Parts: sequence; C-alpha cells; structure tokens
Amino acid sequence: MIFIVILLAVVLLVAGFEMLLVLGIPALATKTIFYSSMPDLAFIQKTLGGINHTTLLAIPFFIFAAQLMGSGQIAARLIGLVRALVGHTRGGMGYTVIGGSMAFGSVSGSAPATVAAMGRMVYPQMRSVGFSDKFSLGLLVASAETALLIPPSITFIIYGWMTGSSISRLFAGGLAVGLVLGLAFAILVKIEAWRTGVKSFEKSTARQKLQALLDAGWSLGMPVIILGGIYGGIFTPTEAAAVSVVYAILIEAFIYKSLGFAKLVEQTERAAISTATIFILLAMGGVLAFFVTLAQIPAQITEFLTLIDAGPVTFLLAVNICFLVAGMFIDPNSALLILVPPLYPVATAFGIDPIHFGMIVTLNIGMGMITPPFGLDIFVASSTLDRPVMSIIKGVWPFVAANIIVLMIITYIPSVSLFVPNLILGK
Amino acid sequence: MRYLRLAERVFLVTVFLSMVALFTLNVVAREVGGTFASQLAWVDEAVRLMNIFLVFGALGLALEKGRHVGIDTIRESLPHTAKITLRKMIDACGCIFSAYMAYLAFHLVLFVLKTGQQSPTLDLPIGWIYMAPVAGFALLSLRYFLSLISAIDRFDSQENEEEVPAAPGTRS
Repeated sequence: MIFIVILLAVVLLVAGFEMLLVLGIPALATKTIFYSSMPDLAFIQKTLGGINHTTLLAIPFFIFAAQLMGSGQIAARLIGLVRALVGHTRGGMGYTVIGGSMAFGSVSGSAPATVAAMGRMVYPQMRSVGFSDKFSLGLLVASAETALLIPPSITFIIYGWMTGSSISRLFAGGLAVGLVLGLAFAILVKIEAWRTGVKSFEKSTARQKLQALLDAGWSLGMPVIILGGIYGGIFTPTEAAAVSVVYAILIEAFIYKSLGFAKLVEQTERAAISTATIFILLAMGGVLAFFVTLAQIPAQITEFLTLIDAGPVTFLLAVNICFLVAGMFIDPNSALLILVPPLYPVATAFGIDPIHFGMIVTLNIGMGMITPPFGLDIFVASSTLDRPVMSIIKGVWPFVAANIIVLMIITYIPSVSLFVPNLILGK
Repeated sequence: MRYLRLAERVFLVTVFLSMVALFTLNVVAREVGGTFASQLAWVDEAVRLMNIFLVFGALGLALEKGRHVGIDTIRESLPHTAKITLRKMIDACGCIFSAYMAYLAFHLVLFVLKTGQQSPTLDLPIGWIYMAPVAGFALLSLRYFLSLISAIDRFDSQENEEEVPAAPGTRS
C-alpha cells in the first residue's frame, strides 16, 4: 500500500510538479486513504506545528544576510582576500576556487549560487593560467558543494530541527568535514598543476596582500560574529543569524555604500520569497514525517536489517547509496525531509552518533548534486557558465572519485566528524 | 492584481525587517541586562508568529516568479504540446490542492477560536495563527489559477537569480 503513495510521489516528481505538491499531495492522499478516521483539520495543524520553532528562525535570518552579502560587497571582498593570499602560487587559481567557494558558500549557503558567482569571477583566469576547460569546470562545480558543509549551513539547521541535535555541534562538525573535502580537492589541483605544467599567476606583493586584507576588513567581522558569537557562548545560532543581518545592513549601507533603501527593499523581498520556498517544504515534509512514524517504517527497516543480519557497516553503506541517489534527483532540503525520518531512528538504534550521521547524510546529498549524469549542479553550471553539459560531466569525475574517498573516511572514522565539536563544546 | 502584488510586497518587507529588528533588540537587551530584558519575553513568540505569516504571505509571489523548487528538466525537454499539457495539469492540480488546504485551514481557524485557547506570552487567541495558511494557500491557489488560464506566465519569464558584482581588485 505504501508503494502506491511512493509511486504517486515519483510520478509527480518526474512530471515536474513543484516540490511542495510532490510532498503535499501524497501526504494528503495517505491521510485520506489510510488514516481516514483522523480529523482533516489535524493535517493543517501538523503543517504549522512543525515550523513554529525558534531554531528554524535561523533560516530566514541567514538567508537574508546571505542575500545582502552576495548582492553587495562583503562576499566579493572575502573572495578577493582568498585570492590575494593563495592565487599567486602554482595552481593557485585552483586553490582560489576552493577557498573562494568556501567563503562565498558559507555566506550564501547555496551551491548553485556559489557555482554562478565563482564561475563568473575566476573561470576566465583559470583558463588563462593553463588549466584545461574540463578541469576548471569540474573544480567549480565540485567546490560549490562545500556550501552545504561550511557553517552557517541551512542543511544542518534543518537536520538539527528534524533530529533535535545541537546546531552548534553540527556547524562545528561541518567545518571539519568541509575542510577535509576542500583539502582533497586541493590535492587534485596540485596534481593537475604539476602534471600539465600550469603557469603561476602574477605575483602578489606583500603590499597587495595587505591591501586585500584591508579591503576585506569589515567583511571579516561576519565570520567573527557568526562563529565567534556561537562558540564564545554569546549567541544561539538563531541570534547570531539575526545579528548578522543587522551587521550586513550596516556595513553594506554605511561603510561600502552599496545598499540604498530601494535595494534593501528588493533584497528583503527576495529573501522573504526564498524563505517561503524552503519553509513550505518543511511544512509539507513535517506531515510526511508524521505519517512515516505512524506507519512504523523505521521499526520495519530495523527489523528487516536484523533479519538479514546487517550491522552498522552495511547499514551505513545502504544509507550512503540512498542519499546519493536522492541527492542526484532532488534538492538537498527535500532529500532530508524524505529520508531522515525513516532512517534516523534506525541509525540511533545502531548507536551511530547523531552529529556523525548528519555529516554522512549532508556530504552524500552534496555529492549527489555533482554526480553525473543527473546531478543538479551540473545543469546549473551548464546554464550559468554557458558550457555544454558533456564537458562538465567529463571534468567532474575525478572530483566525484575524491568525494567517494572522503565519504568513506567520514563514514567509517566517526572521530573526523566529532573531533572538532567535542574539542570546542566538550563531550 | 497590481494592487494585490504591491500589498504583498509591502507586507513581506515590513514583517521581515520588523522580525530582524525585534530579535536583535532582544539580544542587545539581554547583553545589557537589567529588568528591560525580562519585559521582552514576548519577542520570541511574536517573531515566530511573524515568520509564519511571512512564509505563507510569500507563497503566491514565489509561484508567480517561478521560485518554487521543482525538478523541471524532463518536463521542459518534452515536445511542445506535451509540455504545455503537462504545465496545465500541474496548474490545475496545484489550484485544487491549495484551495482545499485553504478551506481546511479556515475550518481550523473557526474550530480553534471556539475552544478559546490563548497563546503563552502574547495572550492572543491561538486560532488566528491559522489565518496565515488560509491566506497563503488562497494566494497560491489564485496564482495557479491565473497560470492555468494563462493570465500570468510563471514558466518562461523567470527572474535571473543572484546578481553578483565583481570582486574589487579582480584583474579581468
């Protein structure tokens, strides 16, 4: 019976229905067919009950801050700083893409937006120092994946809300995992630069570096407020998010003078709409999660796994495959909303740490987004950079391979994910 | 339609900026300390309430601007007639689904108001909170309907996402 509902959802998804309908219509159908004794009004109550939560307020605020920074000067100046520091070394433009994507991705939280921004800023220079077309494209697409991992990450806020795990811990773990992934990509850049004899970019003098640092000055306050504020015990993540909006408005308006009243109104409206598109999915997903629990699907999965004598190792492998496939076809938030409710209770039953599980899940979804032939980011890069899908697919393979290695490390060595959160926040 | 759109935008911008201001004020008050902070205990609940109205208030505009998430690669690569038929089917389903949700939400408003339940710190009747989905799904249903009768084009005239300025000092 449950298969009819899943089939309905898949048909709607493939036909290109809005995700809110892909989640909402099957949820409503489940209620009407299988739980007809439940009052209809409970359906609405479930949609609203889930999203009325202080933790989730971090999402509109971080989206708003990101919108202001991305459309203004803060993000651009942070990337300028990364470039001045590492851009001049051999293969340095490659490191700039990785570091810049982390800086931009961390403020924008959106992989597609990161591909678009970094692509426009550094793609021509990567080509001019001698990186091949396919390597440059592959690196741009793959680096954007760090946007999901480096804090503040919307994906982690949603995961934390669904599982009741600490957002601060998830952010700290994401920072570590994001850096490991960045390091893996940097090794690929190093090998490629050495193999193909990429030229180094013009030297940047100490003076230019200092200038870039001064240019970035106020922008650097942003990570200080967010990370310093949260881990210094001054703010909760939600408060840090609200304060970062005020900081972004003040800096962009009064220091960089790039934000007038009309632009503020425009950016506020854009941020409000982005918020709505995420929250309506959370609302619909909340109902779906309720039915997943009601139908005792996690218990059935655990029972099945015990029956075939599968341990945590096999379970995690299966989790990797599920999330990877989901990540290829649907957006990160929907993938979480669909797969976390049935699988998370199973993971805890196997004694897997919630933070560790969050890292595995998020890394997988990110990897799904860049995996050919369907990964969403490949198509985004193709349209924003105006390059054929095939050349991006050719370029992205080495990064997918590096990603698989990192994923295996993260999956089977829990301390990689847990070391930083335990160090900063104690056990 | 023009006035509805203007009203929606004014509403969203006002609510969002007030949320930021209130929440930040709350943090500042707490850091400064004193009795002022404890008088602001209602802020958390108020901002959560405003967020719900923000979210539902933006549903309609989001559809009109083609901003709702969906996987349209397969649909958009279909031959013309099939593509148009499918788009109309989505509009029809979306219109009916959201109208039904608005209808359910409206009944919930009436039901909860009758129970006389009050919110914890603001002392508002809790039923009013469900006016957000009533309005939001109604606005969404309206947009699906307008798209169905081709009064708005939500598929082909999508906004270009994220304008990104060049980094200072980029030598391009």
